[in-house]
Amino acid sequence: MLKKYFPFLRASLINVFIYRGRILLWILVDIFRFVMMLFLWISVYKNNASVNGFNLDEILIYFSLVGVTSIFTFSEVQFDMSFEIRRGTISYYLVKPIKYKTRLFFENLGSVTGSTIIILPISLITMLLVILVFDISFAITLPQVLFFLAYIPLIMLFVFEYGFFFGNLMVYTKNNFGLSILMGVMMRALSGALIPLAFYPQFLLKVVNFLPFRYITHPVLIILDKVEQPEILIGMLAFVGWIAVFKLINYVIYKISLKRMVIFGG
Amino acid sequence: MKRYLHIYSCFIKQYLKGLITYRTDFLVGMLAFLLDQSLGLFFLYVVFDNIDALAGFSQYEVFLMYGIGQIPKGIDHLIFDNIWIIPRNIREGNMDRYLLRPINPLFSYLIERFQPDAFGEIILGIAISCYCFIFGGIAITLSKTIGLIVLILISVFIFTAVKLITASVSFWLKDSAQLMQISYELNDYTRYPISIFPKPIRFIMTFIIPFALVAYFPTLYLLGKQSFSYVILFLLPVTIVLCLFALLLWNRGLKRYESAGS
Amino acid sequence: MEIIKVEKVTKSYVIYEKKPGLLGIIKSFFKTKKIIKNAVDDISFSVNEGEIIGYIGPNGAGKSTTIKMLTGILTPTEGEIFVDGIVPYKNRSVNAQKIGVVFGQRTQLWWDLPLNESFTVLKEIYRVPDKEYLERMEYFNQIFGLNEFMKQPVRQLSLGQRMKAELAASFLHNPKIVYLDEPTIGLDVVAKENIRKTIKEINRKFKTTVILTTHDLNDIEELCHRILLIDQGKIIYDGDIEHLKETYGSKKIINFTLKDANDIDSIDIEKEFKHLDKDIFIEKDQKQITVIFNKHKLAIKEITSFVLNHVEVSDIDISDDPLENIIKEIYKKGIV
Repeated sequence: MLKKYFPFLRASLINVFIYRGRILLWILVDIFRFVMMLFLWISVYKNNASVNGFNLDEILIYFSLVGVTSIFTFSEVQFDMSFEIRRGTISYYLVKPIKYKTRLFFENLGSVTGSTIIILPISLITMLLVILVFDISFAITLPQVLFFLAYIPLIMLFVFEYGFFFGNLMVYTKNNFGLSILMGVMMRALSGALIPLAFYPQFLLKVVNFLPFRYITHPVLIILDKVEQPEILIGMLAFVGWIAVFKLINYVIYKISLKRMVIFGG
Repeated sequence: MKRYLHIYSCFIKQYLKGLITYRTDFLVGMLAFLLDQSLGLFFLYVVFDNIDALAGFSQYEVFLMYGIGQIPKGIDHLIFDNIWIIPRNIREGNMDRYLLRPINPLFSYLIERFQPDAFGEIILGIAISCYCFIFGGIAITLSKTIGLIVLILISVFIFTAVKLITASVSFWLKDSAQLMQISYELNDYTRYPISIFPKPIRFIMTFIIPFALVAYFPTLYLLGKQSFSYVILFLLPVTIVLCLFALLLWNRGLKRYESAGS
Repeated sequence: MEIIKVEKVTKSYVIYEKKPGLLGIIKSFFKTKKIIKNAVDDISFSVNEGEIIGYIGPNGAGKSTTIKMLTGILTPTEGEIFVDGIVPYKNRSVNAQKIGVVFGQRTQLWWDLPLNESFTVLKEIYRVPDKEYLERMEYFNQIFGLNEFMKQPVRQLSLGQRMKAELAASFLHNPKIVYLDEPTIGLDVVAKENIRKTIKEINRKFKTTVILTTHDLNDIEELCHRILLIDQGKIIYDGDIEHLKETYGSKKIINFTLKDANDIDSIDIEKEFKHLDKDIFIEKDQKQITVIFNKHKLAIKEITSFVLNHVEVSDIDISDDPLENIIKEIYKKGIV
């Protein structure tokens, strides 16, 4: 039954490889950003051995791993949606015997798979280099790795739902650019991708700990041994719960948006 | 020249009119930019919440660097925003209409767009700077203010030149929109004291993609750590060379467009 | 007086071959093959001031490439072009002042601005003096009714309104030459008539030279003094329409509608005109007899009198071979 969606996956996967200049650039950019952060943190740790429970080694591993998980936070669902809605091409999909959202999901899956093939090896190599250069002693256990891997599909699902939510909102606004910036800012600020959440001042932590974005960096913290049972399992469950909540909200909003689209004739 | 100004004023009037009619859109746009910029600021805030000094600079001093860097960025964004559409136009072959007019195509691009959203950036930059002056105990005199304004106005063209250079690359590489995005982003990293970076990177940031000249050096001047002549000795020639290079690349690219078509 | 001269112009392109399929895409990631293609191949022609030229050819034949070279936005690989004494791609700005362009699909106007603002800006760009500007705008309003939608942003205009505006914009500064690329595409019959009328009038009044690229052969028939046929980068016909029809349009078609369907077999035209061999073709269908013949070999009178003498006819329809078919034939057979 899901087989009919595979062509979409294949198509977006191929799409990733078509622009070779783009990919090269992308890789260079990621490396560049990482290197910049490296210098910044080295400077921060010059006069302090430990900041907020993180020493320099841990911070470096932290950002290297965030680099890995960030591949899975890649999603352009909201753009695809708003683009199709604007152009009216969404009607092509609505008249076909496929579910619109599922199709978007498979396209997204294709892009992520494509990006992973390219970026994952580089991220891992970078991390290995960091460990070597900075002579970091680093121990991980199998359960940690398993939990890390278990989080990946959850992260992808969450980011997809999050993007779909914003895609729906874009039906109502004209300034999609603004919304997409808002979306990105929220995610970066609240997930710990910008800076480990442990660094945040107390009053912010209360809000941040309640929101689902923190789970995007949870697997990294697990590997760094900063989270223990039962926190790990509770965290996963909470994340799943949030995904369910978003799915529900999206279901309702999508129905409403669809009606609106039909009324306005695309 | 008068012609260009007249045409430009037509567009400005329209955009300002549009601003008033599409108020919510404008506010959302401005807010979004502000948020995006604030993220960098927020990052600094969190970092300084945990440490005292970064490469020998205090919190207020680093914030000042951030604020001052915002202003020329905002001014460039306000006036020269249209450079961003160049890669897409080249790719889609839409550049033709600019070439079919009896006015310089580059000017044609520049005067076509006025981006009031950028006011947010400028205001933020000024606000942060003032905050640092008042609460950070950083001395500011009249001569320093004038010096700063001069430096800022020159710095605007560094952004413009970098944008134009990376946009022109599209003439060869098909779509350099990403490259544009990245070089623009590079600016975000140069708002830290560049002494945290090793020498080769500092060199690139000062002379090749000289964003360090936009925030770091002017701040040094304000803090009394460098003289005005020292800063302008770097800023002015580098900006001029960069602008000339940008124009050269643009013209070369146009020639290529004309021989290769779309 | 010659205003455009194209001398042995060639334009070649390099394209990269991409292989299909997933494996192909990954392979082409590392290595691609170059192919050279001639969009325009050694063409030469000239245009006199005040002429309206139809430039036709199948898609991909090299029409837009030629136009781009004439307007100065593309440089030829070989050969020379002179437009009103200057080389367009060397003096782009000067040339731009003398020309007007309408590219059917793309707009010369500013999408978000109200139409009147677009005109104000164009006035400034082309340095149109105030008095002339007002006169012209008034003239355009008379023929196109522009004032009705002057205040609307261009993106809100219907296609018909936009095309009228584009045309007006292209003529605003009284250019010597106007290049119209598919100006009537997607328009309804009335709008098309309107636009054709205007082009004719402006050409007559101001001696504006018009180069018209179109697939609509009615445009060609109504407007053009001369046509240029291009196919696969080469010019295969350069001359006026009448001559084309005369020389290559030798077919005449007569359609007889019989009063009584039973009579259809009682007449044998083939036998009567057997001597014409391939120059005549007869088709019978229920009540209709269609005779297609070479008008140089047979007079209309002969066919009609023969048929009318043998059967009762309720209707006769006589027509020329449409220009479309003539051109199709030329594409197929080439010029003899």
